[in-house]
Amino acid sequence: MKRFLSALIALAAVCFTSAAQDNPYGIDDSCYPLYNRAEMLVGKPGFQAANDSLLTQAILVGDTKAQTLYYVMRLKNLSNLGRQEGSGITEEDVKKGYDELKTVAEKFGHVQYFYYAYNLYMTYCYNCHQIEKATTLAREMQSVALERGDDYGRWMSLKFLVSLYMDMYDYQAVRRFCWEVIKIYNNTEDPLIKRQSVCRSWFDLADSYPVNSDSMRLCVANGAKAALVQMDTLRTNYYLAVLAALDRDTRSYKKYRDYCMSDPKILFIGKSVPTTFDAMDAVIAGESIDTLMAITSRIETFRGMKFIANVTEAYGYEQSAFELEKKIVQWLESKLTDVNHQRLVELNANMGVARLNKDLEETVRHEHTAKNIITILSVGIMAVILAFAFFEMATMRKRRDKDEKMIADLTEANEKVKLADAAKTRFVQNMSHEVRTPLNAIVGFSQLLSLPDGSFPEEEKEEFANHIVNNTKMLTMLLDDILNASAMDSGKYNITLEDGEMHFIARSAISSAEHRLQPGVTMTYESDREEPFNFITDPRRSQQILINLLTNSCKHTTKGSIVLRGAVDEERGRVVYTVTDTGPGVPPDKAEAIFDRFTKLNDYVQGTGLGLSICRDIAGRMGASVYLDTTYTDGGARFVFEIPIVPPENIDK
Amino acid sequence: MTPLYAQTHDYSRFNVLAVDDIPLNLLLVQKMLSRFNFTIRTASGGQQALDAVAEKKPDLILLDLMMPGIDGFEVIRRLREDPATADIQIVILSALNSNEDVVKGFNVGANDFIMKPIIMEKLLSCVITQLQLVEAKTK
Repeated sequence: MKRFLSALIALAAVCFTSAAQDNPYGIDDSCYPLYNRAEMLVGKPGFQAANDSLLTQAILVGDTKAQTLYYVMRLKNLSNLGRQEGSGITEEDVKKGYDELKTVAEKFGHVQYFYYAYNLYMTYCYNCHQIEKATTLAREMQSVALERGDDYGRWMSLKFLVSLYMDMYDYQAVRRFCWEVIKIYNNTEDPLIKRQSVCRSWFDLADSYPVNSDSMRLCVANGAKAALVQMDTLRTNYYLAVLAALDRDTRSYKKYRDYCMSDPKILFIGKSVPTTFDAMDAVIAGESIDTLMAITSRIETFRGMKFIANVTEAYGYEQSAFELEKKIVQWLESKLTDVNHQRLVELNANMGVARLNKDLEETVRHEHTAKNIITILSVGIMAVILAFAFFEMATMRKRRDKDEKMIADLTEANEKVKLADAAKTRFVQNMSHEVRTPLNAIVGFSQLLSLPDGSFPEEEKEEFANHIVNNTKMLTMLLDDILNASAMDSGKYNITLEDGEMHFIARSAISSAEHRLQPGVTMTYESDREEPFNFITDPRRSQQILINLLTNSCKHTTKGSIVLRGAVDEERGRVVYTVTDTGPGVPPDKAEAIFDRFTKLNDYVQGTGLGLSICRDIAGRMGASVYLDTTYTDGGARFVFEIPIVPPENIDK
Repeated sequence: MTPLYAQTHDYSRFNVLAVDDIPLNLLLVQKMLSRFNFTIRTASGGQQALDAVAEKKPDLILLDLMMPGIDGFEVIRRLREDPATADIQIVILSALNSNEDVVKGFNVGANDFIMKPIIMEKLLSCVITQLQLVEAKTK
């Protein structure tokens, strides 16, 4: 965020410092000093009076451009105050100033200020963390300009979009917009554009390509060619210095660096630039990784950090480069989380989530009139589905979209609701079948047992009784799964940490799962470690996950064996259980999908499709992980369950 | 009146085919029908059912719907298409219980529909009715 702000301030500063020398706006000479005074006072007391005198003078001499500048200043002042706490200026005031400037600029035919109004208002929104709104405005500006066939407006809106997407680290979008900017520049006759330089866009484009790639070099070369003003030359030298460092051409690097460092405007091209140079100097001097890290952490831009990592690698310090890369990834992740969080907050506020939620509830309520045995389970299931849909919506919102984010979001949210609804319907139908199957055995064999004595021999009756007991267990497990899933969603699931023993957890899981084995299949526990291994965990939950994995294997394995292995990975501080079976296995492209709710690989194998999703939820709460070992290819499937030996501090108890 | 399950009959002249992918369900049907001494064969899927029919045409098929591969609906469709097997009495035994499934079952040509869990008395009366129909037709 900061980077963008500083870039804009820099831009403004450049415009207006150069303006101080020769009245580049071409307004009346009597107005120009008044304009300058107002400009200096933006956001400060006394502004109003200064600006008013500009307007008076402008009207007096009949200078419409100066009059327009009055409104420009007014909007600048409003958006500046609007960002300050307690100034009493609301967004509505800023919006009014923006509308005024647009009207006036259009009335007097100073089209550049019509678009400048957009620019100021977008910047204001951006600085108030309303990224979505800023993006929408930029889009609106773009389409207005397109409609009017106005290159200047398109050019301005695209440049703004570049900055926006640059700050969202969406380099693909940046690339697209930069190319358009350059294309407009090359094809237009508009003097408002031709007077400006396209150099900056070439460098933005360079930033969007991987460091040291041919594309990046080409862009830098083009940028250097396009350099028109002093700022451009400075920027060009900065990039040339970076490229020289990447080539390990220390002499050239020093030359370009010195040029940049001697220019007092260096901060305008990026406030981390001097620090970036410090870091590159440190790399070249062969400083330790700690020193490097310390300097790099002061660079607040992703590209700057990336440059350092690449230069470090170029100079052959691979270990340091690796450490830096790791750090950069972490940094970027936290930045992206911030940006996305802000967008999420904004979306939630603006987009009528309330309405969506209502729709969702209504569909659910409608479905609630289910009339069979399942009605008993409905409440639980509906809770699951509701939570499932909300969770999906949240995940969906966090995802970054390329453009037309808002419309896409709404459509997508609706789609998600529909999908969740379909998944739920399928689930209820499936559940009906799942419940009826064990019920059929229970009801059926009970009827046979209640026939008059002598109908069946004693040992057959015993067998019938066993079928009844087993199917009752199956039914219980089914219900447990559903109730577990809904408990998980209502957050009623507790993790209780206590002393656990690796072998004990495994063996008790085996004894609970054994009766589910299909005839001819064996189930064994193996471990290389003979002595007990004690660690702090939630033994019951761990056992539950293992039982779930084992029963899963039982369901799918019709011949061969199921092997549970327990091991201690001292290096990674984990107890690692694996469950390997000789069943049909899981196709690699389903490795993640099987952990989704209601996903079943084989509709004809009994189960709710909830088991693995429950396992993963519980594991997540324990700081543990459950996943399919996709590297295992000896036929069958191998699931891995890893528990940290020392439980993480933030366990959700 | 003596309940059906308490009556003993010799219906060994009738050939019944029970089809279900869950073995326990087949066992249950066999046991429920044991009093009547039918000649019962079993098949564990749609294809197996068609094979068994080709091998020897049964008088009655007790058919599950949800099975891997060829499902129950498809089995009925194929049997009804072939003039040689079109007249076999078919009773659906299924855990599918929505109206659509029942209607669809009759539409493809089932003679009756029994929902799981199976109530024994219902199954027996249905089976006997169907077989009496078979006898009436052959006379």
